[in-house]
Amino acid sequence: MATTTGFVQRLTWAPTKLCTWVGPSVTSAELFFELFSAFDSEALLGFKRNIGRLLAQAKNAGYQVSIEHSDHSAEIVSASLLGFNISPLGDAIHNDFYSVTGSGIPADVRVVFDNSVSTITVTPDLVRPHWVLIASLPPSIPVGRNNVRLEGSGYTSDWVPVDVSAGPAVTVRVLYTGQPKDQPYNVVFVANPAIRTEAGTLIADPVRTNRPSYQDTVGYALRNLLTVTEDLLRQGAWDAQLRFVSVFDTVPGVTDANALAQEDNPNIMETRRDKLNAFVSQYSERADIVFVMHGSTSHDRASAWFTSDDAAKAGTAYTYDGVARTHGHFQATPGSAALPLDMDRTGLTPLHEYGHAGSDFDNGRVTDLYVDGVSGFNVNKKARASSSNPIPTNFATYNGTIYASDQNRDGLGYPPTWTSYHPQLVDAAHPNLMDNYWLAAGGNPQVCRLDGLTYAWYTDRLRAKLNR
Amino acid sequence: MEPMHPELREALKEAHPGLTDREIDRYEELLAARMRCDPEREAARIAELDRERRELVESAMPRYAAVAQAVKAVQAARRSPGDRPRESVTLKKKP
Repeated sequence: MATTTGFVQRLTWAPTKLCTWVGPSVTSAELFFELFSAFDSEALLGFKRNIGRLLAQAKNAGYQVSIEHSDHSAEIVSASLLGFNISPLGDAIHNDFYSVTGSGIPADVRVVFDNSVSTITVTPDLVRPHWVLIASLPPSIPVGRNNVRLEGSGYTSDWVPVDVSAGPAVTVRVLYTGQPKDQPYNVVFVANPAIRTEAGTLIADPVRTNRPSYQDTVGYALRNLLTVTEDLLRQGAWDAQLRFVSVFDTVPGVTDANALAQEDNPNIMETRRDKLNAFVSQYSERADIVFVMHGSTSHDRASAWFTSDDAAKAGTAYTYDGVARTHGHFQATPGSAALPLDMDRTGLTPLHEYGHAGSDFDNGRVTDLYVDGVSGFNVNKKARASSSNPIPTNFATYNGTIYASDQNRDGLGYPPTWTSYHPQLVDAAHPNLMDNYWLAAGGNPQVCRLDGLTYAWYTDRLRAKLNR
Repeated sequence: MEPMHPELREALKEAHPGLTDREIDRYEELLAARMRCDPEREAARIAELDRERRELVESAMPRYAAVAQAVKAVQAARRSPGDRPRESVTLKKKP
């Protein structure tokens, strides 16, 4: 048996026979055929027709095929598509997001589009070993058939044919598919349709007339979540299991149900968390986390609400200071954060807000450390009876492991009147991610990390949700 | 909740002579306490915290919103645009 591989250069399909020319070019292609006989069984005819469909699709898409035939005959015995080592995700559309997935992708990778007249090299907005994201596909890439590949240090992927179109950009764009399962951990970015003002009126959110800035900000938020020093979401390549989706829809009206953000005096924007499940379900999404992206410039201090886990569904048990608690596997209300388009991108705002949003109202809140108040059960903050009492050596016992307290609050120090204190940091040289990262020594907030206890607690919480 | 930038804290004190760090800290505590409340179960507590916070702003830092906007504008102007070359196009020569 022999095997011939190449592109489908020509294909003719008559009722009784199919002819195809396969090879690197029209002039150097080999002819193969398939005969359809009245004596063929239905099963055999179906098999042969499927070969014909596969060859037709391969010709249309520009994919290479492998034809199996006998050593002395051009009659096709079987045919298959040759695979690629990268996979573009979704349609290639000018000015829309564009993702390419693969494995072992280096950090300096570029996305190269090649066509008959030009080669366009694009610097992606996000690079992970399994995923490359371009926040806005450049219009300099000609409309029509292009080949795309990734190129980086010591790395060159296969060329994959893609059809580039001028538009329109899609409403729901899966940026990364995550685990191939029914309900992967799902992070949804939504361009907020409407804002409920301080006065209680509803206004259109400016984000919906600024799609370029929305996409650019989503790209920034993803870099912040997945590429800064704190590796909470990318540890063990976990981010390859997370699903990321963007919803940008200009159709929903300025109604109460579509107002996903609320102004709060004097400059804060908060999500309307009770609206989120219904809103994203219109797009067949069930989100664990919703980032409500808004265009307000007057209320642009970001905020977050914790998740409310669904206590009626499964969970993973844990103990904290001897008290039995649960990492819920599913949400009753998703965690959420309102992020403005005009965020200061030198900071850690998306990851900090995720730190709140991914935790749970009832079974562990991860709270702000830059204020003194303590109430209820917080994973990462406790209070002494008096500020004159020494900070306890041990902060808490989580799942049988004792975690020490942060005696010094890194370089910030505890104000003398504070009663609150925190767990020991992973990196004591910089403030906690959940503290005031703007005060990081050296002026780079993006090196801030969590404390060891919160990191361990969050790792277990995410594992519980990823394995649901 | 995004932490307060130290430049905003200083600008607030400059714009409101007599404003103390203690009052700003109180504002931040009230806001953080609000965001620890479940909006569905603790609406009354949120309303109470909001009222206290609003009164604090009105009495101690009435120009909060304007000052925050001004600080943000200065910070944005100071930052470099950050635009990097996103793409390069190479035209192919005709044979």
